[in-house]
Amino acid sequence: MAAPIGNVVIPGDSFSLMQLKTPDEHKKILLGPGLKEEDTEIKVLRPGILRYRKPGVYWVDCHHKRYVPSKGDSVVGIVNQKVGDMFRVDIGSSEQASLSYLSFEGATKRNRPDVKVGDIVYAKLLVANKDMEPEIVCIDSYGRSSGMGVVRNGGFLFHTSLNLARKLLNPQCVLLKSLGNRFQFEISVGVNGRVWVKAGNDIQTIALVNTVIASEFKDNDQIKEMCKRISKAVSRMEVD
Amino acid sequence: MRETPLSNCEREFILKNISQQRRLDGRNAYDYRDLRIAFGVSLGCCHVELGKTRVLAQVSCEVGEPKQTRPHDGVLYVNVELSPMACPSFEQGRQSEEGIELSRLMERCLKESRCLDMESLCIVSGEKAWHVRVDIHVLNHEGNILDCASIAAISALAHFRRPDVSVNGEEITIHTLEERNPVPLSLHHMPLLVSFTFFSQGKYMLVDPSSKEEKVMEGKMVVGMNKHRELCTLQVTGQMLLLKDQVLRCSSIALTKVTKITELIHQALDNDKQARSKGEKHGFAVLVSGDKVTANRLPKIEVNVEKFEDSDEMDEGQSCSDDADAQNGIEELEMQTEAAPRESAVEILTKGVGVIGEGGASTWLDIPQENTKQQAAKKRRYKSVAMEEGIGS
Amino acid sequence: MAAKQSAHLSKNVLQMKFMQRSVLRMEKEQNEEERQKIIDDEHWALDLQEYKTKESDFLENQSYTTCEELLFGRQSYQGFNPEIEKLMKVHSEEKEAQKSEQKEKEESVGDAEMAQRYSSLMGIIAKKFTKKRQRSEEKSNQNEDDEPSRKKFMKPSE
Repeated sequence: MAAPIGNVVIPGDSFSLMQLKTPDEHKKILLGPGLKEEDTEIKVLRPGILRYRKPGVYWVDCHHKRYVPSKGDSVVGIVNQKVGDMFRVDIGSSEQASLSYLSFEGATKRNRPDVKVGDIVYAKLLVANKDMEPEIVCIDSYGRSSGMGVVRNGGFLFHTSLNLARKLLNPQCVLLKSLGNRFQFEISVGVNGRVWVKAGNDIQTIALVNTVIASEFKDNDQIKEMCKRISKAVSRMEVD
Repeated sequence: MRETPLSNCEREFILKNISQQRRLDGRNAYDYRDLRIAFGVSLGCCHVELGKTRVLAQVSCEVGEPKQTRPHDGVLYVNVELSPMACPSFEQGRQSEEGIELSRLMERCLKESRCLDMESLCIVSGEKAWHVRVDIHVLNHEGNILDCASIAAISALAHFRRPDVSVNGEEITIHTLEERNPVPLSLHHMPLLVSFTFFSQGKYMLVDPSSKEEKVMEGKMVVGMNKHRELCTLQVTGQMLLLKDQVLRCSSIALTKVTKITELIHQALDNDKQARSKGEKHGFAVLVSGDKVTANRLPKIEVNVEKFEDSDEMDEGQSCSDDADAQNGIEELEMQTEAAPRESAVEILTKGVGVIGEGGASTWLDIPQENTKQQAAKKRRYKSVAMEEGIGS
Repeated sequence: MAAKQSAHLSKNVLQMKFMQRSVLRMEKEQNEEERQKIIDDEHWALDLQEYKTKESDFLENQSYTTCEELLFGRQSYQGFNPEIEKLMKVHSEEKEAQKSEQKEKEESVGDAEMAQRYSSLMGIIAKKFTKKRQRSEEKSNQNEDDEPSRKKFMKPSE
């Protein structure tokens, strides 16, 4: 029996290696969130839908609202505190993440980055361990910012479920593209369920926020339809 | 867990928009969010949704001794529970300052307004009286718990029935629900709390604040009132000064809100009563919505649509498996009844599903699909209309 | 024994200059004793074979980002933030390159495969250029060649 790809799995379910499609002899199977290897078996840890992607990636897709940090995730955090040469940043996890002064592009001991409490940062998780405080950085391994750092100049931040954030970033989701065809805007989506949006004016920003939130339970066709309506409504309002 | 801090950009954006008479969810300054009142199967159980804020109130009673200072009265307890389920920053067990304020205000609203006839709760003077207890559980916190809780509490009290008691000389009999119909509590009036939040030195005022608006507010005034224009409580918190006519204006707004909400409560009570007497479905089942989060990740199941009337709704509703949405709320039900005849012209004959037979009078797979599709289309329409209205204001 | 002796001598006596040598000796003895003790302790340890970690067939990664191949989270449209738009372009180009590379890998023929293919082809192509007569000659030659070889093979079995 093959593993029930696309079906619901429940914590405690287990599969053997034989049940999975092995991609090649050489390549290893990647177990994503919700799966764990235990005694030559794969155990399911979360309830959800088992997903598979070529070549040999398995994970469990489930509905989340609380973020659990994992290494390599890009998140939107709110600077909460300055402690010594560290910032304490709220990323929605059980513990606040630490962000060093030096992990900004071009920052040195003398040249400190201009970050205030309450600012928003777009950062990547460097350390994510269940026993340790998460650590985030705003530079890549070459020391470049590559899009990370403080997000400034107004805009609005709102919180969504983690699923919605992932849906927005999914290459198959048309929402951002179809909004991009109609509006001029900038968006920063963190996989921790925080989304920052800024558009030309406040009416558009509010409209975008509401569109993104409303898209959670819609499929691509519905989303396209909604975008059409929203852009009409907004242009009508801007005339008023 | 600590509370999520409010970022500077949120604060600035909200304040800027409030100063331009704009709210994030598209409401006007004096608008309430959608209010939905539902009663549970058990008596005295009420669930109130105000936007996404959800409160459950349950009334229970037991026989006990009356207080010595008031031997002819029953006792009313009010208990507000803020669990971490509502908001992760609420801690279990320990009452926060917010929690204490909330339960004090609720007590003042229900006890000191004397809406409940305490003397009718007395069985034998000085010895036996009913102890009525209102447990208010906050299920989700999206701002303005107070108003939501007061609506839930008073509706639950109005919905509650206590067992009948007969006193025969020395003998007291508490009749079971089968023996005698339970009796309602005697409510004199329905006090409701309406909170007003103030921004920029009291210059701007909003009704029914969302959780983010509550975070940036400068002060808050709570008006407790019933529909007879009787003020029950008034409380002002925060660092701001209010003008006299502002307070008066608040009270007049509160009156209109209270009359409207009281009407809604009565309507909900009536609906529940009718459903019960007719033996129809009642309880929380209506609240369940079948939203699907996996909408864009489920593979589309192509259905061979042979023949259908070309209407706008159908074009987008081709993926039937994704669209199963249960009806959501009263408005939507209305929508459905309105538009039903037009939709019934739509005919779908699925040829691809061979098991059922070739089109025609196939019964068990096609028809529900059609229904769900119609519902989904309607829901979508409703939602988008709501959204447009939302932004449009 | 030394320990017993030292128990009798007071601290003050031991600090005197003439006692320094015996103090050193005592210390040495004590160190020796301690070392002995450690060795003794070691004997208690089990003499296990070195633990071999079996190589797992799986890699674990708790991030949805890699599993679902999510896009980069910062995006800008219609030139709202040119910096971000430039980044988006770079990301999409990278992805495209990756994709095409993978596609090429799947479709192209590897060196080893090519060599094998050609080695088998060589004979066929060579045949094409030889004339029919030559081919038949070759055939007969081959047959001649074959026969002795067979004889050769049969020999040892006799």
